[in-house]
Amino acid sequence: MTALIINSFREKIRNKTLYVTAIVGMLVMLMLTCTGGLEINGQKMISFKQMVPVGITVINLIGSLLAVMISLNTIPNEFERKTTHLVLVRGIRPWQYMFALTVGNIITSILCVLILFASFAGFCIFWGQVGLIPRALASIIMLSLNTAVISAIVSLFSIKLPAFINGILGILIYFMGVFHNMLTVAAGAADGAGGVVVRGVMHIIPDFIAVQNQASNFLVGNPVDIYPLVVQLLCIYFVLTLTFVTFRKEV
Amino acid sequence: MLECIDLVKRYKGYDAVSGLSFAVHKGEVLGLLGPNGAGKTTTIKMILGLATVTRGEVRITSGVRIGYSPETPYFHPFLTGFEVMIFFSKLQGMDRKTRVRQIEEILEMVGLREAGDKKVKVYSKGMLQRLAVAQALLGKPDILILDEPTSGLDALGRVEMIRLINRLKSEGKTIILNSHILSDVQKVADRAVIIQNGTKVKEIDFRDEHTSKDLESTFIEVLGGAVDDSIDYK
Repeated sequence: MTALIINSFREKIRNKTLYVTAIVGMLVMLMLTCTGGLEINGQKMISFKQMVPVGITVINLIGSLLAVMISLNTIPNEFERKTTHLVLVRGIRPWQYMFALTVGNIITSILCVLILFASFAGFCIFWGQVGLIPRALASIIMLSLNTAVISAIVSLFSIKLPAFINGILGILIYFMGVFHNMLTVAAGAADGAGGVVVRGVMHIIPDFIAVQNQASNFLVGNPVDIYPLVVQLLCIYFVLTLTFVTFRKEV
Repeated sequence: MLECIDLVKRYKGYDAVSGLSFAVHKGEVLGLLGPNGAGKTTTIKMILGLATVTRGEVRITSGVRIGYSPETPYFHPFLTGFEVMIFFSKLQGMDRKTRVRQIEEILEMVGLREAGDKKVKVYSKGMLQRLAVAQALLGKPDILILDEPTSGLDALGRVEMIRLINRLKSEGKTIILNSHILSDVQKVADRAVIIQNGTKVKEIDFRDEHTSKDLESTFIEVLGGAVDDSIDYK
């Protein structure tokens, strides 16, 4: 299984599109956080503490988009190229195969977030907070839980769904997770059967904003609530478990 | 060694394989012949366990290992031929010592010893096909299934592949050769099963003087004149 994970990882890191997206993301991140001209709701962002949530949000957004890109085609490509045949005839079980590819996607996605950390370090340096760089790294690692979740979900869906639908679904889940609080309040106010469905959906949508907030809190020295982080870890565990029982009927 | 008994594969609305029976014996090369869409690849997929069997049975002698070379092999272009072999040998759980020794032997056998250090992206189609056969030989399988090994190859590539199959045959390998190129099958096979619409329409033993003389005529005869353009008779 390790050989499958490593091979998947080696293939992914050769994808030039990822690097271009990561570099563009880093530039966007630096432009937003280091030019000093950012205004939110008419209020100018003038302190490091004010800019931290912005930086974390940008990293989360770009990291998640990269995770979707990375995870979208890995498994369908294996089926299309019929690599599945060469792997499965060697006694590798379908669940081992899907699990390994999903883990490969997660590792690559986390690596991308760590690459994005370079721009975050630049942001810390710009605001004269060099001492906070190690703390920022820990904060980014915390944030990578979100990336891992979105990567695992998109990987799981890619076993069954066409890439286009899966991509849209992945991005939709990301945004629903980022606006989790708002949507949960709205769902609570909804009546009837529709309300029940929406509340049910919000229960299974991962709470990305909660993890993002904890990453910001950690960086600026505020208390961190461990609960959303544990829930996100459980979510990764749950999705990975689903890869054990999801496979295509014909290979 | 391997026996398919009344094999049926049903997809929505049609039978890709319909009551197919044949057997492969130790040390022989069996050709599966038929036009495109005859059900050859589906049969192979059922033998390999890659497709479920709707009805019937695939009987494989206990302990028999099968190696498989696909029609259109894909290997990661950034890997070298040697690394491809390492990857598949790891999947098979081979230990490091056996792995290195066996890979060197196999690459030598398929004529890729020199090219083993080169990236797969620079390989010709013929080399890729030979690498596909090479990975199928890992773990010394008892039966080798080759799916269209000469398809899409130029003249030289075909000659090299036929030589390789003959070499494997001379070493006593049991081979199922899936092909739509009659002349290639005739050059290496001991027997052939002609399949059309998922059913066996004829079984030929090339060791028998009478049947081996004119495979082309036999083929046209058994397919009732409805000859598919995809068949390469030469």
